[in-house]
Amino acid sequence: MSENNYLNELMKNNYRDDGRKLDEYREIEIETNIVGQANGSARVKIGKTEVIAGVKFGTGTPYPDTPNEGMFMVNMELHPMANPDYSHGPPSPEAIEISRVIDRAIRESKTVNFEDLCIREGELAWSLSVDIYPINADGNLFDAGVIAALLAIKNAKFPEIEAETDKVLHDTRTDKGLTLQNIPAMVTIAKIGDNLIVDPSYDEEKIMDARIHIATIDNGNICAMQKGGSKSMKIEELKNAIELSGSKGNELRKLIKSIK
Amino acid sequence: MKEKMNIKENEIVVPGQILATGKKFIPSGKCIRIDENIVSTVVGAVTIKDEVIKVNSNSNNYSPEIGDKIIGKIISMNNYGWRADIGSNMVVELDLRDASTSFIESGKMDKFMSVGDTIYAEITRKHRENFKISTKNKPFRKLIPGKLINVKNSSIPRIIGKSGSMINMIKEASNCNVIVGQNNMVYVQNDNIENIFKVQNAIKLIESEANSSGLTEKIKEMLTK
Amino acid sequence: MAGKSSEPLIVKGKRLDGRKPSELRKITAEVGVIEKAVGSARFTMGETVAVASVYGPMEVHPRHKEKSDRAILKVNYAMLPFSTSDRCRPGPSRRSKEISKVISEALEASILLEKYPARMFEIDVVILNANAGTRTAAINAASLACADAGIEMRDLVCSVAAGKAEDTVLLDLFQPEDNYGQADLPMAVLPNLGEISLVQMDGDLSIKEFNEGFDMILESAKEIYEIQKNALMEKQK
Repeated sequence: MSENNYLNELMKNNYRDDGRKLDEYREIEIETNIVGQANGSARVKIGKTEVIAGVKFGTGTPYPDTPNEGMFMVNMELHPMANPDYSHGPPSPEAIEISRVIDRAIRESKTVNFEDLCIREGELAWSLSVDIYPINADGNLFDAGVIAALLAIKNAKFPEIEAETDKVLHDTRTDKGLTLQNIPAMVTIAKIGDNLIVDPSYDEEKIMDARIHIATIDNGNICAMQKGGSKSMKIEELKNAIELSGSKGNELRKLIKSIK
Repeated sequence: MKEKMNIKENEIVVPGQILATGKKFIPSGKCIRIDENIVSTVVGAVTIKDEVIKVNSNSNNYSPEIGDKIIGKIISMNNYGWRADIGSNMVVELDLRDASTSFIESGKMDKFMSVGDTIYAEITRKHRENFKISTKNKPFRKLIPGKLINVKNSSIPRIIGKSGSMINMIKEASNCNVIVGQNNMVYVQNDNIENIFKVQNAIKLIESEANSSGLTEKIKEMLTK
Repeated sequence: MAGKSSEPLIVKGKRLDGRKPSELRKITAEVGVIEKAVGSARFTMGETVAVASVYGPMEVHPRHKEKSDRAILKVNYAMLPFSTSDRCRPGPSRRSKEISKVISEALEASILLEKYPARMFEIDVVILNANAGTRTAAINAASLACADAGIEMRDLVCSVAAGKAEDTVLLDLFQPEDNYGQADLPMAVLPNLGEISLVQMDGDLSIKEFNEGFDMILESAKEIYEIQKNALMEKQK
C-alpha cells in the first residue's frame, strides 16, 4: 500500500493529493434555472463532481394525519453515465441511502414549511418532488445533492391550477414560490487512517475507512447525520467531525444564501 | 509499563473481552493484540502458558483444517473431479488424481464415485480459498450407503473416548461400522437397520450426558440388550 | 415526527413507563434460538423483539460480489407484517434496504473479515414486534448471532438510540415517545474499543443536546455489552 503511505504522509502535513488542505472544499460553481420543464432547477459543481436537481410540482390528497400539509420527496439516482461504477436497474442500496439521507436533511431542517404546500385543507395539497441526477461523479455527491436540491426548491415557481377542475396546468408558471426558512448545510467528512478530510474526491472515497455526513441549520443545531462505511470511528473522531461540520457548514450556508 | 492479567486458565471469555494488558503477552488461537491489550475474538475457553494466551472457540461449528479427516456427500461432478458437502454449507473438492491410486478413466468417473455417494476423506491442501480432499490412501474411501448423524463439536472427544475406548466399544457391541468425522459427522452402517438405530440412540445419550461418569458402561449395556 | 402529545410524556422526571430519562428499557437476550442456523439470537428492548440468524461462511453468490481477501456480509432486515400497528406490506422497502445496509456496516466494523477470504455470511434479522428502536434491537440481535456462530469479532456490537421528546433528551425511546419525537439518534458502539460503528440522526438537536444523548448512549452501551455477554455465557452452561 505504498500509495496509501504517500497519501498518509501528505495528510500528516495537512495536504491532500490534489493540493487541498484537509478541511478545504473544492471549488463550488452554481447555476440555477437551467431546465425549463422543471418548476425549479439548479446545477451544482463541487470540483469535477456535477449534479443537476429539478423540482416538479404535482397535487394530491394530503395524508390523513397532516391534513394541512403538502407532500415532499427527494430522490437521487446514481445514473451510470456519471460513473462506470453505477449500473442500470433497480436502485442499489447506495442510491437508496443517498436519496434518503438527503431527503432527511432537507425535511428535518424544516426549510420548507409544508403548510405552505396546502391548497385546501384535508382535500388538496401540492406535492414537491425533487429529483437529483449526477452528471459526473467525482466524489461527494451528498453535499452537491443537498445544495442543488435546496436551490432548485428556492427558485421553484408553482404552476397554475384550473379553478373548476383542480387540474394542474404544468406548462404555466405563476410568480409564486416557496420561502426557505432554515438553510441546512450538509458537510461530508471522510476518515482515512487517523485523518478527517472534508469533501472527499472519488479517489479519496475509494480508500476511505468511513464517512460521515452531518447537516446543520442556521442556529448550529444538527438536523441529520449518517455514518457510512465498514470501519468504525473513535469517539473523539466523531466529536471532531461534528465540530468541523459546524464551521464548514456555516461557510456553505453563506454561499447558498448568496445565490438569488 | 502496566502489566495485567485479567483471566485465569479455562475461563470462558467473549468477543471484545480484554484478557491481558502488556507488551510481553502473545496472542494465540482466537484472540488478537489491539494496542496494549490481548482481546478475545470469540466465545471460548482461555489457556495460558507463560506469555502465550490462547483462546479456543467453543463454537459448535466446524472449521476445516489441513489434515482433518472428514465425512462428506458428493454433490456434483465434472471432468476434473467431484465436489462434496461436508455440512454447514461447506463444500470441498476432490480432484480426479486424488481419488484413487488406480487409474480412473475420465469417461467412467461416475462408476467410481457419483452424486449422492458418501465418502471418508482427508483434507490435504488448500487451493486459493477451496479445500482439497483425498481418498487415495487407506482408510479413506467411498463408503457403503449408511446413516449420517450430525453431532456437536464438543461431543466428539466423548464419542471417541480415551484412546478410542468408547468408539471401539460401540463398534464391537453393535456390530456396526462406525466412523467419526472431525466435521461433526458420524457415519453408521450395518445390514440390520435395528443395529443402526441402537448406535444412533447411544450417540444421542452420549451427547446429552457427556459429563456423567459410568457412561461407557451405560452405553455398552444399551447396545448389547 | 408529529406535534405535541395531549398527555405529558414526562412527569416529575419520570417517563410514562416509569423510567428516568437516561434509563434503558428492560432487555432480554438469548442465543441459539434457531436450531438450523449456524448462529442465532433473540433480543428484546421493551416490547420490541428482534430475531437474527447467521449462515456461513459459505461461497459467495452471485460470484461477482466475491472479494478475494475478505468475507462479505449479506444482511437482510425485515419487519414482519404483523409487527406494526398498521399492517406493513411484506417485502423489502427503501427503508428496510437502507437499514440492512447500515446494519451490515455496523457489523463489518467489528468482524475480522480478512479471516474468511472469498466467503459470505448471510445474516437475516426480522422484527417480530415493533415498539421503536427496531434497528438498534436488530443490531444487538445480529451481533449476538454472529458471536454465537463463532465468527471472529474485535468486540460485540452494542446499539441503542437516544432521542428528544418534549425538549428533553431521552435514552431508548419507546413508541409513545417516538410518536412525538423531536429527534432520533441511533448508534452502534464497540464498547471495549471505544469506537462507533453506526450513527444516524434526524430531527433537531443542539450540540449540547447531541452530547447529552451521546453520553447516555456510551454509558448504556456498556450495560448492553454485559447483557450480550451473559447471554453467550448462559449457552455455555
